[in-house]
Amino acid sequence: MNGNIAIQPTAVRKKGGISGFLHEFLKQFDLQLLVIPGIIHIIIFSYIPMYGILMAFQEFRLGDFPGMSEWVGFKHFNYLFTDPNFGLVLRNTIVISLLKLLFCFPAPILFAILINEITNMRFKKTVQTVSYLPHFISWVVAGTLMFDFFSVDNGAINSALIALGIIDRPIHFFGVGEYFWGMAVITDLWKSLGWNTIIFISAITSIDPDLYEAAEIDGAGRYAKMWHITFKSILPTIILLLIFNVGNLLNANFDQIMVLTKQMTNPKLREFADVIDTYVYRVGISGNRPSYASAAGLFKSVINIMLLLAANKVASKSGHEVL
Amino acid sequence: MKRKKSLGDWIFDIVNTLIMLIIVFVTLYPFINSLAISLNDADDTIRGGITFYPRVFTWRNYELIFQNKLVYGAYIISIGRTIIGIITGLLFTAALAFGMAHSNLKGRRFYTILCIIPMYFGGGLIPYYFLIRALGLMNSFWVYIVPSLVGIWNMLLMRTYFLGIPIALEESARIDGANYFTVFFKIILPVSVPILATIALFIGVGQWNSWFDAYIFITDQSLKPIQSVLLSIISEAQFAQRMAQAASGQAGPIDAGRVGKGMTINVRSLTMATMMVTVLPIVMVYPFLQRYFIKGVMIGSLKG
Amino acid sequence: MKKVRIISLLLVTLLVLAVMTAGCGKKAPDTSGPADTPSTTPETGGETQTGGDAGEGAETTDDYSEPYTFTHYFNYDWWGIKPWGEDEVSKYLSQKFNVHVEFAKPDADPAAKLNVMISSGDLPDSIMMERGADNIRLARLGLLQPLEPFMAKNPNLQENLLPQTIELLKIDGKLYGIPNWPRRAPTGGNDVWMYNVRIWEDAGKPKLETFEDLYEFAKKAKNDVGKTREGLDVIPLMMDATGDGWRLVNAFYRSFGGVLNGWYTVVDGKYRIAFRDPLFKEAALEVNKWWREGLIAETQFTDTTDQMLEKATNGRIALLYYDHSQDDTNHFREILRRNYPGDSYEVVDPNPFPPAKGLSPNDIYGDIASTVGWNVTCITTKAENPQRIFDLWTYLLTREGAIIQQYGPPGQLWDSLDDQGLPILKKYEGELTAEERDRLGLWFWMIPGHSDHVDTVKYAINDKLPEDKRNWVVWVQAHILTPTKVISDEFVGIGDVIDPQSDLGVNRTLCEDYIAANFPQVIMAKSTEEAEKIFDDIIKFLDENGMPAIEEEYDKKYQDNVKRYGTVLNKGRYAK
Repeated sequence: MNGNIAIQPTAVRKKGGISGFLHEFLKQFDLQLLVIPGIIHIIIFSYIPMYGILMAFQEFRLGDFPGMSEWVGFKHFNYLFTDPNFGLVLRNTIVISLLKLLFCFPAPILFAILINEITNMRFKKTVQTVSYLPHFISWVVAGTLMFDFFSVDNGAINSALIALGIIDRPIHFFGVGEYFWGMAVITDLWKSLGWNTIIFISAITSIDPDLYEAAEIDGAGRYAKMWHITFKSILPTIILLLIFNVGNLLNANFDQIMVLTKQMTNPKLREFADVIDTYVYRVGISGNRPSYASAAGLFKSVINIMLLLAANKVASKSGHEVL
Repeated sequence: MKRKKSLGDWIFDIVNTLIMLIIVFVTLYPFINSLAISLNDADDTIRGGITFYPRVFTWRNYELIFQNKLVYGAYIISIGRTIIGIITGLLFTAALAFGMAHSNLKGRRFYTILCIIPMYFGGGLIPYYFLIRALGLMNSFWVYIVPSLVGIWNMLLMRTYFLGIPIALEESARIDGANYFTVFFKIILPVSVPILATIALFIGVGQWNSWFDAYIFITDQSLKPIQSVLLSIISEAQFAQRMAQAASGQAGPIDAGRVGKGMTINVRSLTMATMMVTVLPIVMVYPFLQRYFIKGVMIGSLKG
Repeated sequence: MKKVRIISLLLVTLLVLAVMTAGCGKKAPDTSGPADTPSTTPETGGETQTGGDAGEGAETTDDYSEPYTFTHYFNYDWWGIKPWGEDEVSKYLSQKFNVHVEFAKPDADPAAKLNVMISSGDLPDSIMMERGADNIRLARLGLLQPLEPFMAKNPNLQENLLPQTIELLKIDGKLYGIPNWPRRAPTGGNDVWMYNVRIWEDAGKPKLETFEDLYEFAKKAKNDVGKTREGLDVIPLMMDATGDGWRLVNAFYRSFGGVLNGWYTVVDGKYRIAFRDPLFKEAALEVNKWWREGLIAETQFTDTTDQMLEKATNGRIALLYYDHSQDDTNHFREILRRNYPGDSYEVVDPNPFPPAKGLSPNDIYGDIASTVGWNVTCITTKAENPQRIFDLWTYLLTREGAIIQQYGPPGQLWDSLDDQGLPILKKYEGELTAEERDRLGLWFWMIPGHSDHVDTVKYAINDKLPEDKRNWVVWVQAHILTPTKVISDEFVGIGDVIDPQSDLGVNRTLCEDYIAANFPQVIMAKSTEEAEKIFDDIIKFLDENGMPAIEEEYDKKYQDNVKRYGTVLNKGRYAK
């Protein structure tokens, strides 16, 4: 199992065709048996309901059986691509996702590696436990906290900045459109840092401590150890997460954006905060056009999965293919 | 063998500690703040300005929660679904991940594609609803467990971990005649404790926080999890205050929407209290899991 | 390690058993609930539906001898539910009609839940929802029972509604919905101009009769008063959260003599988007002027209602245009008065909506209310005893019902009525504790409520109280706002003529969304020229994206409404 997936552990004399396949299959029946229940489960719960996707090509009305409504073909997709808002919405989605990829993706990795360097056990555990707390605060509550914290009227940040003499008029953090991208990244970082670190911490714990000792003997300094051992050992996990984050590019965090823009009623932020999901919510769902929402969702999924496959291809070039 | 700490080491440690302290403060403060607000009188909270401690102390918000008879049953349901969900979910997901980590698995390509597609394409709520109904899971506790037995993302994380286990472990066992079941349960799982603990945490938190499945599929009040009950407590408190005078002055359809969306709010304290009630159990359980994130679990198996 | 494993396994098994018995055990009694009531023939429920509602079933209006349980669903995720029968009001109703009601509401995503309910056929017996597309669709799918047969046996509906109300509520010629908050006469009101007493005093107690007076006061508040006594900045004008600026322009437009119905108004007798009205443009530019002069809260567009209330309760807002009745729910005025003795918010007088440009107060329109009220309660085809459901809900539309809803059943807060038919209260309403109100269940079971009955009783009782015990909100509604209110059905149902999924519907969403995004830019423009340009750009966009066609459809319906129900737009600038 160690190393490259593409390598076969044992060479086998292959029989040809379907009977050959069946033969091989039965030989590893115990392995298959471990896998089959899960596969069946996925088929039942994920594939059987998939006929609902047809809604994107139909005009669904209240009370219809999904998949049996009036057929309209690509009408909804046409509406989507010709909507004057589409370009803006697409831009915002991509920019916000890329910014998050740039900042919120590496941060947990760095954080995990730094936590690993803490020597005091108690402090280490405390940091770990406390840092994930924001994950449990719903965006609704977190939003209120953020509004208070960054408020123009004696909010903590503004008061501190003014007291330190850095600015003399309070900054309207949630009132200037251009700041929104930054605010979205910062608030998301705060909320997800601790939680996203968990998977990396757990990956780090499976590293053999002997590796560190061996490296020491070879004269490796602290940073060298952090890079060559800690980082390199969790690289497979990092790649997995990276690929799927790329494959998630068109999904900006709907809850977060809705809350920070007060359900998109903050007009100053609209130009920068409107993403595909919020647009679809406003026009498709609130506008009573469920099929339209469905079509937009399908469009997102198709693009996302193409991005995923592309990212996987790139990763495979360096030997870290995931799929 | 302890190496002497150099100056570089000291500086690194100090800077690291500083960073950690900042992070601890920034993540802990909102929590303390929420705790303070939850212990503060609801009317007074409107005036704003509460930081570390309540200004007008009251247990009222927690009373409102724990006076609700449904809360206790809901706790049992939530604990039940969390524990059962973790055990069953771990089992199914790990088994699948184990198989998928073997490059000699026949049909692996097919299985992989099968797993990825549902992560991106779904049929929506109504077809899912019909499925659940057809399976007889409506209004049953098992609707919390059965549909989530396999988490595809969790499976991928586990698979990545399994791929990192030295193949020597498995091969030596198989040479000794063990079948894959034995390898899985007796060899691989014991050395996978970190990932199992992690995924257990993910599944557990997911189960603990979930309410949407209860909302759509469960009508029996005694089967509702704690989140559903807390949500209804909040909306009841909001509503009871709302209806008093606003309704009778309705001017017509235009204003009708105002009665609902975003009108009072005296319930901020209550909302914080429900958040505490939800999060505190998790915070109390997590340290218990933390000890599985200790290094060196695999060493024994390699050397032994 | 092994021991721990065994013990944990045991614990888990125990837990599983506990949960299963809890889960499975409880199912039995609940599902057999309705079946417990012997008379309603639960097994043949499906077949007797059509029988029952045609009136040939066993149930008559007067026969409440058999208990009946039914489900009622509120199609609003923000609704709050209380168990039936635990407070005095619902206990009384329960005994009177021998019913038990199980309530439900969506926890989130009401549209999804409604869809699921319809697609799967798991309908509630009775449902409260908005009038409009979904409601019409339910009726056309044959999922709702027409109410005519029940009206034949029980005249409560006809006796308490105007004939035109019933006509307006009909779908394809049949009545399906019991209206909630219908009315026959104008009473009450919500949004109103209020001023902060302390700031007003510091500004020299200027008069606030006309709109121009308000402007002067706002300027004084900002420049002369500047800060409150605690040193916080004074905010000249602030309103409740308004993302699209509608509330701002509505307040100003009203003072200019205009009437706004959403983003539409009547121009030269035709129903048009308000942007075509020169007066609306004037109002918008006026808002812009106030904004540029710093007279509107800087955070007006970005604050949440919570944040606005924080400022209000700390006495920082000089002019507050807000729903005064919110004082009963969030106590903004009460909290201010309590924490800052001598300070308060009072409604500007003598005109709650100060007229501008020399107009007479009589030419200003207050709220225009329709007779149909807010939403409807419908009975679905799943209900086995629809007459009983009908009787229960329509009882609450009577004056007697209104008294019970507000003050509880006889024997609790009151024992008998006086010669005007008002309950003689044993204790002042304002002195009831929250627990007492809860136990009595006051003001909770307004499903439906009748505006007239509720308001007239409420006002009369409030007026009888000694002055210091009177409820401010009610007093303002009764004496200040009611005289400004008018009734008209000319605007009912206009939005429903366009199917949201049709091309017109798509355009409508596009246009209204554009307005919501760009109108605030008009308000926040840096100069009058810029404001005008953005305003004209909006009109251009609307014209290019199908608004004229929408206006035409809307106007057709409007003219039809006017023909049938008349119009109140006949004074001031609308005088012919």
